Amino acid sequence: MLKLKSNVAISESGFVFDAGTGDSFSLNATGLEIVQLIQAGKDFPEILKILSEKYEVDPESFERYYYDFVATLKQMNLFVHHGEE
Amino acid sequence: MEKNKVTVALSGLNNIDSPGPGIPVIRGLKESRRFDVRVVGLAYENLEPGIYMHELVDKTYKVPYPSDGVEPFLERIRYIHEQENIQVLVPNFDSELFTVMKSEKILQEMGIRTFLPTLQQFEERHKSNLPEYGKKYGVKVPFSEPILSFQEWLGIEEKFDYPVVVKGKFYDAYIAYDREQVSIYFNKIAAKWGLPIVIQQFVKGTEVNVVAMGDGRGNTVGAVPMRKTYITDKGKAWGGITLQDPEMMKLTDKIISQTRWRGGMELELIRTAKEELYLIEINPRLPAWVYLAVAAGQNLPEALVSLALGQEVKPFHDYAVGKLFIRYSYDMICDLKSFEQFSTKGEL
Repeated sequence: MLKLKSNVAISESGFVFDAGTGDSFSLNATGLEIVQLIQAGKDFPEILKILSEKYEVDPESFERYYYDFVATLKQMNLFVHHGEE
Repeated sequence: MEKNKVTVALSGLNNIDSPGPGIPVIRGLKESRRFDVRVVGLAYENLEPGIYMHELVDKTYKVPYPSDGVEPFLERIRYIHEQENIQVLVPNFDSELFTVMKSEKILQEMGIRTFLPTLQQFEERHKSNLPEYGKKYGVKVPFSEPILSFQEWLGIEEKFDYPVVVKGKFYDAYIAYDREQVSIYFNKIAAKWGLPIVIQQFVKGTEVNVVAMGDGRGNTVGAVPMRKTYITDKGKAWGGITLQDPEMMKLTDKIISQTRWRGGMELELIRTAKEELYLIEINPRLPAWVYLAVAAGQNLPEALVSLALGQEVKPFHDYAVGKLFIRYSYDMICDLKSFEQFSTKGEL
């Protein structure tokens, strides 16, 4: 399961700060919602269910956007690697 | 709490695009809760901005360059001491440390305290000695060799892969991607800072730094890690942010405890993609970004003065993570009279 690094702080405005690297990013409202769900320990099927109920989006498109977004977050090194923490 | 009056003389007033640490150190001292500091500036050039920053520097004296030798330096300090009764001297340039360390005893007899690394600590962390340093203390350092001529480089070139970093004895570093660039940078740095030139294997990664202080008995008095967020063409930080990095803190503690480091220091490190930390340099003094540490909760300049005065200092354990500094330039307006006075009399 995806887990954000413990030293990554996310504000309510969607500002992401990685205290280990000093990097910061801005999330839009949808991005923030997804990250908060990941933070709450939800996996992809649960996130898909929650967001499909809330927004008009077909599962195929959402899956594509979701994994694209997650890949970006991974590239930003925001998740715990296997065996860490 | 009543503050103790103390007169501190310090250098590094060149608050320019590649700034000396003087002004940031003074800002820390002026915010001290323990001391009411009278600041006596020591300047080498007539246009060092700190000379004219009277809200921070009470009086400035021109001093001879360290390359002029120990005697002219001591003679000038003796004169300044007669006028100012200096209690603590804080040299802020690498190039003057040797002279001050050599004079430590004489200064002490005059009543001037310092808190500096020992000569051994100073010598063994030289850029040219870094590989041995790494071996001795179990710290990862990039492979490097000192050279005295470009011909010498041709003889050892095959031990390296390009790019390499060409470094001066005290200051300056350039990344060279081929032999021709090594030659250009060798001549450029040698003309300015002399020999040897150190060739260091380039390590790819993010540059991170730690400002720290050791009490000389193996304890870390304080340490704050930082990443440069904006770097000038001279490689200087124009912006930076404090980090939460236990590995950097562990490494700092390890170096300070093993070497029993005495005084301020800056560790320059590279963090690779594999999260390995390579030590690329140890600067034996507080860096120009030290005010970030003060703002983050560790007044290291104040601690330095306390230690120089032989006072007990409680180690700092915390600092604010995510504290930023952003440098800026500012056109200070000065009277010609002030410039004239400093240029002709060497005092202002």
